[in-house]
Amino acid sequence: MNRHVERGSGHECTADIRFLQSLSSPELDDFDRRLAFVRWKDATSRDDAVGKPAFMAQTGGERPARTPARAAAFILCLALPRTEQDALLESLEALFERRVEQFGRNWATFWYWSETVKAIGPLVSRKLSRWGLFAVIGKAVQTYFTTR
Amino acid sequence: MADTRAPLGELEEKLLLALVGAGGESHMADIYERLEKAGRTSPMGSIFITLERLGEKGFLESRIEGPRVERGGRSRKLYRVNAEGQMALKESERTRRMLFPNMVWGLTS
Repeated sequence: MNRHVERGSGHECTADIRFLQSLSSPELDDFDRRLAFVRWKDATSRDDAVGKPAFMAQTGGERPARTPARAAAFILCLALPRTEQDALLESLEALFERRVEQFGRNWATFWYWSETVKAIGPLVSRKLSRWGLFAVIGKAVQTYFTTR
Repeated sequence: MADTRAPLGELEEKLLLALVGAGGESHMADIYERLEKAGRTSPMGSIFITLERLGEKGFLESRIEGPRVERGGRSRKLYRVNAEGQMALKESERTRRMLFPNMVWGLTS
């Protein structure tokens, strides 16, 4: 089991979603469930002495410099199917880290948000087009059976 | 079997070229940076969707790496151009040459 999940990596929202999904999804095996639990536990663990999430306690209340905006990552999570979340978010975070090194945190955060905003349209329309296809098929089946 | 005669879109062609140029498996961050260096950057969302579409067309193969320690246990997706993808690129180049056979001469003279 992968216990080396990076603490305070800013994946709290996705960790919550994944953990909740893992409880109900029959597709996941035990390894995936354990991994989701470790992520969720790590992301939501709190420093008792300070009463803040662990990553905030470690950095004096400031978010670590290499953590992308949680809200942006959460929005992307909503727009993406669960199976495709890792592929896009991992790449975005890799680029975010490189931009923090090159241009600083503010510019990198701006870049991350702009990529999120640009991605929302295509991702949502793709999702809707898939649902639209199912709706057309459903309508055709319904029409077939009602006109027989 | 992919239809290699199906026309490639502009971004599809750029992505296939970037992947061929990388010479093996690449993940999206590397592809994005290659496009950026070439001055042809596109939003990550568009790149992601186009890569998925190329996979559905049968021009790409992809695999998911195991969870990585660096970024909260997330997995990377690696893409690689297969034989059909390379054929589609050749077909695209052939079409371009047919449409404008003297392109190189026209530009240099």
